Amino acid sequence: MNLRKLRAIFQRNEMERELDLELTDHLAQEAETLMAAGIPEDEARRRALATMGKLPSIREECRDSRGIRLWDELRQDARFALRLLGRNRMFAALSLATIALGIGSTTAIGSLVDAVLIRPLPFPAPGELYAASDVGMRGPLDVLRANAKAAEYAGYLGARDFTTLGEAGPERTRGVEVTANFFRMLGAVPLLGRTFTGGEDGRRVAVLSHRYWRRQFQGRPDVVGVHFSADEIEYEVVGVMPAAMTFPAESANFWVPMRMDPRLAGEYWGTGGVMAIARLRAGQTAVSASAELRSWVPRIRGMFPWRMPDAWGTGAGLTLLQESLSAGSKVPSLLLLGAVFLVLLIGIVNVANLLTAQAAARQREFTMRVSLGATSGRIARQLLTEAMLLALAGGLGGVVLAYAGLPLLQHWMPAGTPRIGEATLDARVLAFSAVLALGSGLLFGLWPLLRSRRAGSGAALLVAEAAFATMLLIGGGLLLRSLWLLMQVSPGFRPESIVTAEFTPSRSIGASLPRVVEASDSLRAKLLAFPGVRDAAATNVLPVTPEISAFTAAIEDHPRPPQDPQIPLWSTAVSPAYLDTLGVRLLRGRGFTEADRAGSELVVMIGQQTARRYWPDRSPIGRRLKPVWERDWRTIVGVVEDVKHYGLKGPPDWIEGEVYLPLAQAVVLPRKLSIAVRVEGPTENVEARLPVIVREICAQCAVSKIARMESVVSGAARAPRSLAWLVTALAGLALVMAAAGIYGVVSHSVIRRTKEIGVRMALGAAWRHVAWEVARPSVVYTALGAAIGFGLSWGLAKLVKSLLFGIAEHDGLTFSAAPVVLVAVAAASCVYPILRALRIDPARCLREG
Amino acid sequence: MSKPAAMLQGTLDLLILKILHLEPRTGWAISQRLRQMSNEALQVSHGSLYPALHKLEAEGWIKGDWRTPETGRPTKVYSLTAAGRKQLKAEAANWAKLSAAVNGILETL
Repeated sequence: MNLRKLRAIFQRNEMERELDLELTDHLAQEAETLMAAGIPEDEARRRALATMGKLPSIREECRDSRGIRLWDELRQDARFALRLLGRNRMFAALSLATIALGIGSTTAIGSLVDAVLIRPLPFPAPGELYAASDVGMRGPLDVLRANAKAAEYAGYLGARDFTTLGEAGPERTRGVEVTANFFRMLGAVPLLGRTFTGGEDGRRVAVLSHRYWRRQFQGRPDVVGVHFSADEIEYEVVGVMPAAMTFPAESANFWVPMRMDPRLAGEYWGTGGVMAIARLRAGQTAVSASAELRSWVPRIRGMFPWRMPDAWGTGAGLTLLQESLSAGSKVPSLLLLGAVFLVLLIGIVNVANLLTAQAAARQREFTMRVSLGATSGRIARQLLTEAMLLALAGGLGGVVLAYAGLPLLQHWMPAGTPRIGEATLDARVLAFSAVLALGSGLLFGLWPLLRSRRAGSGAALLVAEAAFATMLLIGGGLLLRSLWLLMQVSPGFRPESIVTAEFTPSRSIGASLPRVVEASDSLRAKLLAFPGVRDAAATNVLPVTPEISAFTAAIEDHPRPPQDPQIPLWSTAVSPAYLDTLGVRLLRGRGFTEADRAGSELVVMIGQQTARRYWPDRSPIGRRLKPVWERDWRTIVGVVEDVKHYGLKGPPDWIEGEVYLPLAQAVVLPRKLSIAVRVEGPTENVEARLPVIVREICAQCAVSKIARMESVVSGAARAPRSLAWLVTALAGLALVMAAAGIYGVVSHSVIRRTKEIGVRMALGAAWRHVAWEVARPSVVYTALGAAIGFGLSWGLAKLVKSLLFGIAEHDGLTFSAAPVVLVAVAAASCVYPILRALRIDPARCLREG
Repeated sequence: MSKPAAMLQGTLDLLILKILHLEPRTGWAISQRLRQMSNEALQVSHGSLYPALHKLEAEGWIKGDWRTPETGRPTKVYSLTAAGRKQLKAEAANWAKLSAAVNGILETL
């Protein structure tokens, strides 16, 4: 379309006005000429008008010749297309549903990917924000914060539960401890009040999240200055954040300053879990700031009050904060996006197929229109208009679907996906859906037009469809197999009939280990008195729960020079009844007893793997180990079955073994206690009574996370499970759509070849030959497509390697099953069309032919 | 387009281009010239002239300029563009070929 035509469309009024002027001029000149010849004015005007013809139709024709016609024809085409779709409801509904489903799921996943991976963090100049790795303690962070020139450093601890006072008594509320410069460094501006000032590390001030302010303080504007208690410490509210501020955890209700006290050497230098973040200063780059960070590492290593291994901090570096936050979600998100794209493509292929079949069926209509003067371009435009109409309506349906499905998807997505709550269908996402809709429309609209010029494009559709479906089947298969293997993992204990819960000991109880043990003992006594309770135990961390509990150990038989990396061991502090309550088998030696107290001989138990690793050819009983910083050795008294700590896949790779300590001899004071209660019969009563029983021993304590151990275990597989099911559901959808597509192509070819088949059967062709003839193209093309899909998946498989468990990324079973399933489904889709072909009555065919 | 049945499609375009080849004219002047040139043989209704003019203008073969003479009534004057000159040459050649062919057929019959 050239500019003049565009002008014709958009400046319609202007052009009409000019045309009127022109015609008026013409009439006047004509009349003047006639009047010059002596004809009276009235008569002259009348004759002038008569030579002109009908004015409205002239206007119409002028408009046509100017190209406005295109616009009007488009409207005409659209009307015609609507009528056509109205008449062919089945086709319309099927195509619309396919497109809506494809675009809807792509839009919804697209908005998630946007929120998780693409959208910049809601802070000024988010590109200057970096995460610093391998300096995760208060001390190193403090040194960097005070001395680094290239970047400003800040930090935070992972969100944890504080005991606060709600209306119904104590409750556990998620909060985050941050360095005092956290907000200022991020550039987060408060809605009310102020953020922390430089010197406020460890002070009793708090900034509230928008949600907590609304819920707990009814959104009152005078909240600044109000005090509230967390872990029995009074905090003064100094500010409220806007709703958009959910960093570093969406669950965070408040932020309080972190204690940064070099005098508490154990906490300052010895406790990890600190996330360090940095903002580049003006004129600095990630390279210069990283270089500076690395130059500080050896100096910081020397500042530790004890000898650190030479390897400490060698992995230090800066990663873009956004990338670092989403690192774990990148592969699953992109995998899902890829999967929905494939489903959309299969949908497009199907609709292209349907439209091609329709175009073939309408050959007579087109021939007639051509003979009535329509150009072939005009007919192509008509077809394209129909396709675009379908695509836009489908896209609209898709957006509605996405809008309805987004909350569900947010719920299903693997837990802990960062920023997932930020996903919305904003203008950018809607633009994305519009592009998808237009692109799909063009694809399946142009296809029938191309096809009329080139034979064999139906084959191309089948091959593409089969390839995409195979890729999805393989992807879903790999994830499902991993999930299945993960579910087969023995957690190392018997999770049935166990109720678990968690609480923070009050300050008076939590102040010393003997008090904690005393509380745990009396809690057990009270629980045992409750009907149905068989045993109860306390620990600092339950199995398969993603909380790190580890210390760096020295093992007597495996001395390591202090400059070498030391031995990180998983450590669980447990009450004596732990093994019996959880059902962990004791393999050797003894378990803990009441006699293992503070002041008595220091004892530990270890896991079986750990025993094998460090004492492969002798008994570990009686051998000794200790935390590196302690003086006294602890003696191994028992070996127990391996328990899956941290998650079903076990603790992180850097953990080298597992050790149990009596709660009374714990390495550090547990900040919170987890309880496990083994119950006979139904668990509901115990679940309901637990908070009350806990409060009997500790009035200020709030209980949370009351759950059956079985659901804790199955919850540990939640992330891989939701991902596996989402991808499998998409693969199933793809399979159904592919089957429908193949069915359509085969039925269509049977209809087209009715006569031929009839004749051949009349001539005595065997039914087997006819059947094979009908099915062959689909089976062959599907197999070809499956082979291509196989190849593509083989190439792409390494990208999902990190999501797999227990199988190789080129798992033979999955890779061989998927193409077989697809070809079998393709063959099955041919059955009905074949039966129809075989039922063709040769006699009738011949008569009618 | 409602043209007199006697008139072949494209003929009117050719004639307009030819008329404008000599000098720029208004739509009315073109209609007068058409009447004279064909000795009234071509009965072109004035109405059908304008769609043709607008089409040629949309194709970029002629261009219309608004002028306001002393009479005060704005009037649109069409002139041939460079592309129009080329088109005229091509269509004239076409026409010659076509008419020669038709004549040839008529003579052999």
